[in-house]
Amino acid sequence: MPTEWTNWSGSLCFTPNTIAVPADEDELVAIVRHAALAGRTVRVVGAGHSSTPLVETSDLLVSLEQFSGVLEHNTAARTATVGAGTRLHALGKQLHAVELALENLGDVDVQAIAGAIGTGIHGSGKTLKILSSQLVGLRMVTASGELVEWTEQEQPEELRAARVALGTLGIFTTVTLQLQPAFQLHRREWCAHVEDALDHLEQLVEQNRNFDFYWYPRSDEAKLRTMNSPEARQPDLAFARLLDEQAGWSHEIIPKQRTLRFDEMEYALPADAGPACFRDIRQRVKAKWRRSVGWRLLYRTSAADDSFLSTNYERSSVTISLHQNNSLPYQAYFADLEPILRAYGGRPHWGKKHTLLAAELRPLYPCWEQFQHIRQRLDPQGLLLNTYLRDLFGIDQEALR
Amino acid sequence: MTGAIGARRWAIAEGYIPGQSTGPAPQFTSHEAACILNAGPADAHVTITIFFSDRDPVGPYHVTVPARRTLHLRFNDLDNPEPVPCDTDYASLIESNVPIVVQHSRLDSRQAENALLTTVAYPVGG
Repeated sequence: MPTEWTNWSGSLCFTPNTIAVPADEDELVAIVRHAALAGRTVRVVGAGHSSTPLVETSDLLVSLEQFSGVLEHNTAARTATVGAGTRLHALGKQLHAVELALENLGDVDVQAIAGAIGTGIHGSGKTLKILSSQLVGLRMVTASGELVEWTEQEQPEELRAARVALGTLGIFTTVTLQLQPAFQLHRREWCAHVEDALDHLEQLVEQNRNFDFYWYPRSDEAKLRTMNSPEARQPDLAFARLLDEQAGWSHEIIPKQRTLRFDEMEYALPADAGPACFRDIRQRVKAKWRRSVGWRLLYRTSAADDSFLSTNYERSSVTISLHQNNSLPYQAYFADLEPILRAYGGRPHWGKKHTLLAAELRPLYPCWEQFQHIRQRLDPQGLLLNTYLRDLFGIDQEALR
Repeated sequence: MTGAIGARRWAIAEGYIPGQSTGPAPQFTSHEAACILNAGPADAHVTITIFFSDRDPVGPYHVTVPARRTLHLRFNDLDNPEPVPCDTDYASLIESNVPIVVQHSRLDSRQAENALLTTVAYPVGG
């Protein structure tokens, strides 16, 4: 009996023909081989936190929920191999138990590790890369039903493709991560007028391991968050009011509990363009959107990397994200702001709302064709693609040529 | 020591957040506020339900007023489950687990000559 599937925010809802929950790699291989023989298509889902239709299908949806937990670790080498479906919240606890930690986390930790890697999620910190950059090895079932294993040493180009691949190269079963020794952070949260925050933005970004701020359109105030080693305690911010502070292990301190469901659009901009873009966004929101939008906008930073489809490919980034309660319309709000984000060279977050397709995306990614070549080699029939991904990658257009 | 005073249920039939403001934010941002006094010895767990002229109510919004404290809550800042829309007629029902006193105020700064109005909310039983 087909079962309706809904994502985290509720904005994506569809009914797959089948939802498969394989218990192990052998079962997954059998499922994929059977699907290939039957000419079916397969999409893979982690925690369902993305709100673009990456996993939408009327055919076969494969859940990774049985592929969970830390399977191997090497504390000296600071690596761990974990099930691809492991939720980040659980992963943080389990890595801590073996004295390891992810270098950084996003604002929430409800995602599955393979989904987080596949869509390029990130936290904030000028020197910190997106989470995908920690991927140094993987096992996956390809579209032909073959179980393959890649490592950074043996398949460096393929790893650059796999780090942000939207689940289109194969279905990951395990991922091997380059980690940090478990570490503690001291988080402080401040309230300031947004103009004061912008006046001090450069030093806030430079002087803190992690820094981000939320801007509240209706009050024009900002909540600033700084996180540093407890030993490297920073001086007070004279222009801001301290709201809260907490110290503890990184996996407990970085993410926040979010009970309110929302939809979100986020673009990564060249870091230098961040302040000017934010000012334009702020002006537009104040002029047009304060009537219906009460939710904050989030400003973050992250370091450059070399993954083919990373939003940070070869450039340090500022990300600006817009939020709207999931019970309210978001389309007109996001559509009005998206051109501003694009005008500054923005690349959209793969798992959050945006309207770009292949024609707009291809010029943003210098290694677009290298990625597509690897994807085509692994999945020539498009078993792992849905309609959205075909449009996103321009598969139909290319076939017509 | 002061004991709890007021009522557990209050209504504010008037409600309207002007969408435009004059002057620096947030001090002069047009807003509506519920000033909630909890004079008693126990924290007040307060829920707010917003009523509209043309659609179903939204809420509850949850706030806590600690014992022997006051909270000046701007309706502009409510966002869970939804922001209260500006330039829209609404009313509010405020309910607490302990007696509280509620006063309503609005700053309308659409023109530079600011307007401030205030009234005590309507208590609904004890």
